[in-house]
Amino acid sequence: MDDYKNFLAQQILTEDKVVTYRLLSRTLKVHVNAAKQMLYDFHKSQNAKNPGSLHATYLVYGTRKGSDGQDSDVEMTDSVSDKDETFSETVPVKTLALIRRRRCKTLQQYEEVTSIHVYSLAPHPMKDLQFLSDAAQQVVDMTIQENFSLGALKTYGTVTNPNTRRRERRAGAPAPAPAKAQPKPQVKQETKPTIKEEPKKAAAAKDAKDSKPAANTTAKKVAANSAPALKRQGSSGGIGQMFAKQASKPKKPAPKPEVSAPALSDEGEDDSEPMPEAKQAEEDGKSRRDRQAELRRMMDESDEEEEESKSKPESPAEEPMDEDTSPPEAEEAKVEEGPAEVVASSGDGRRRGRRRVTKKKQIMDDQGYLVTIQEPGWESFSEEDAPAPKPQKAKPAAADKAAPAAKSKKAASKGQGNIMSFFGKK
Amino acid sequence: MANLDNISGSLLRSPSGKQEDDELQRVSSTYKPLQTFRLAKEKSYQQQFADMYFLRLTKIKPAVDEVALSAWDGTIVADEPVKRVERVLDIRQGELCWVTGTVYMDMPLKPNILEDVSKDRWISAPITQEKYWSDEDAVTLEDESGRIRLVGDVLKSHILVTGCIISVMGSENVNGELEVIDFKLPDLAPQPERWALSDPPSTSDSKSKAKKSKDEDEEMTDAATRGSGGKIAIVSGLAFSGSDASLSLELTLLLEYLLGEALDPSAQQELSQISRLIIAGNSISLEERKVPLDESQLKKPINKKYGYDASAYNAMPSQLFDEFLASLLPTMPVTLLPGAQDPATSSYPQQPIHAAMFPNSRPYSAPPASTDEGWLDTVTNPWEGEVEGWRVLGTGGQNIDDIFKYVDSQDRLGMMEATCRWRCMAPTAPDTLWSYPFQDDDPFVMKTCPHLYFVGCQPEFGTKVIKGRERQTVRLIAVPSFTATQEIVLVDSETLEVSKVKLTVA
Repeated sequence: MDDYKNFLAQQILTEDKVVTYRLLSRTLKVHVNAAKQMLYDFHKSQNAKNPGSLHATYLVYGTRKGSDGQDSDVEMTDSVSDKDETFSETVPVKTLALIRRRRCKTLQQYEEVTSIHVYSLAPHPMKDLQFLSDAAQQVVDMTIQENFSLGALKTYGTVTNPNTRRRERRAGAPAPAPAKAQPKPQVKQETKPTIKEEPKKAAAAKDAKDSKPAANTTAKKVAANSAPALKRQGSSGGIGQMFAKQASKPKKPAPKPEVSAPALSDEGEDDSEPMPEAKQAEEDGKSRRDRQAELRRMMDESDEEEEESKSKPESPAEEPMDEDTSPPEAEEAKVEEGPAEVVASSGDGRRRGRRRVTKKKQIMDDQGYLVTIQEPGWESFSEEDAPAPKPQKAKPAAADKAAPAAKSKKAASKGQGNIMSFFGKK
Repeated sequence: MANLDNISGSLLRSPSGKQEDDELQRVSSTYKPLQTFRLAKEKSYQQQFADMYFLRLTKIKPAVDEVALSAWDGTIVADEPVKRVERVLDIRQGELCWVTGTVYMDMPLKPNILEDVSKDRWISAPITQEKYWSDEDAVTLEDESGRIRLVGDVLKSHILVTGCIISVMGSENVNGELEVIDFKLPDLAPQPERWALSDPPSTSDSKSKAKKSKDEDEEMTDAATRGSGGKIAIVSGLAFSGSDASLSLELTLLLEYLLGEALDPSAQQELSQISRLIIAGNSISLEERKVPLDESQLKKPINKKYGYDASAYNAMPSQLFDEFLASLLPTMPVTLLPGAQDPATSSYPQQPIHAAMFPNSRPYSAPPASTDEGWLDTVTNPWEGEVEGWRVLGTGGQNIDDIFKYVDSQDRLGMMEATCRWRCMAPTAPDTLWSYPFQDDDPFVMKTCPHLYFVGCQPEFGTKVIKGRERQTVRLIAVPSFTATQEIVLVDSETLEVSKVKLTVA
């Protein structure tokens, strides 16, 4: 029990430090109220031995005299307070004061003191109480080291709260520094195992999207539902997605030409039933975003994969149908040739995305001349820059250009979309 | 007269060595935030602001018409019956009539967007005036048809600012001005019952956890023999600063107070009744962001790096605030409103401060895209919600600060009352208070009347209760800036009685 005396003696007398009750409590892992008493005891015993060797500060809590208006700290704002008495009700004021010495004078300012305890001990009379903030900072640092653990609260006598909700961090993410290691990386980890599945999933999503309004709702729902499932289950999440694919595959009567990342766009073709779409958007806000990100990444990754995934769902049974509804191939051709624009979203009738442009760039060369060079680049655009397309129609610009060419060839031979599109590029 | 010997909660004694009493548990907080002011993630800024005025007028007009009709219907002034006029443009000279419209204050000192545009200024000049108010101000009333100037001493009886909707009665004089005899405000909106959105804790024993906390809650109130349950703490203007440490000790005391570590067991018992902390804006000090202009222009980054140059900013203020929150959160839920100085959007309604600002406190916030409220709930400013069953409306103070510039008055509570009576909490948006250009809805219109209306970051504390015609009762609180007064406000969660605690370091 006396080890606190040794500790205090060492800290205060030897090392010349300021010790607050919280610091003592954290260091010795005792209740704060016990720590307050230890400080008092140490102060008393030390000053009995050697008067003036220790200087304490006290925390006083109570009602000050005349806190209804005449007391000193209201006077400071008196210039306006003659008015504000009529504006505002007077309310009970409690004062929590940190005082330097237990002077009668200070206590006499109080009508009632409900609580008093030693706040800190220091080897010198403290000119500036701000020294205490250093001790306070030490406590904060210790708390951080303890990783703000809830269990510690009990030890120190902090008021606990049984309802506290805290998200658990990922396992393996050690204390404070990686505190930033939040959902983001987590998503990444999870997507890796599933990366193989992504094309399929994209296809599924696309199919769902492409299908006619009649089939639309259900297909979309399934696709949407499968996505979060996948997310949650991590690598083992293939099932839900297969399911999505299955579900959406048969319902692929007349796909629309669409290069746009399908996840986000709720384009005009849904006009007949906007509600389910909106609802789904709400429900799957997160998953949809993830999915979109994946899709975009995938799109960047390789066109082949897209190609593959595209052709996969086209089971032989559906081939004839595909032939008369050729646009998807046209779109492929376009992808192949490097899309002139990628529409990332066309929600609420506006289109946003990136397109390829030739940019003029002016740079200063090492001789100090201004040189203008042209270089291809990507530029993001929104509906202002491009004519808002009727979503039912094929894509403007490039799609229109590429479609007629690709269309004719496309109908001719099916399996060789690759090479056809190669020629189509010319 | 306090005497050392009769202090009940003195811990000036030697340690007894016995184990401390049972741990204290904090009372639970019933809490249901509303998303009234949440903007869509992808929002367009291309629409015009005029829609807001139109929406506001259409939404508030029926209410004020009703008030005016009941007051003036059949009224005869000087042998002339008062006639209702639908539009401002329909007012005929010499005819006694009443009309409803939007007030527009024509003030020479008020910043004027048209002036900026006509002078080809694309960045609005910094607002230097403390007040827009001057003697040359003119009150005008407008609607979608036209505008008429209002004159008459009666207008001086109540504060009026741009954007509030009123009904005026009078007749047009030869100068084309409306001589106002009387005017009416929409008055307080209908007030919901307590527990309109959430269930009182006593009935919600579906969850064992909730039940448990309820039991403890009761035990404690028994022990404390206090009639009321918990308290809600409101604080604003903590202004954590990286360079100015003059308030750091007060902030530490505040933390210890809220944690329940300070003081003696009986006072700690009292502290455990504080069920929630609401931070009403300006948690981070502004002074760090004074970038020395010439230096930043001279020093161009030579090699472009990704991310920020750590020497160009000081993360200390938000770090300190994060530590404060992270220390507090294990024991107390926190609702965090942004204020004018905080790292959030600058236009009203301010969107929540992103949890990424607070790496240590972040685990307590709601996971992204979930609809649950977080233990640390970073919310919009203004914000509406239900706390302990009471409908609470709170702002970071910009709405009142802006109204303050329009009028020759120090009466902040009066302005708060006026916003309630106008049914519009931020009438000066979008004129002088920057605002998002709403298209479909003006959320600043108070559809329901709150029970508790607090406004943060005010120069001094104030509170009063106002009553409406349908027995609505609203508790108004002007929450002082902690930097200015070192005060926190405690609101009783049963009676909405207010008390405050002042922290001093002597």
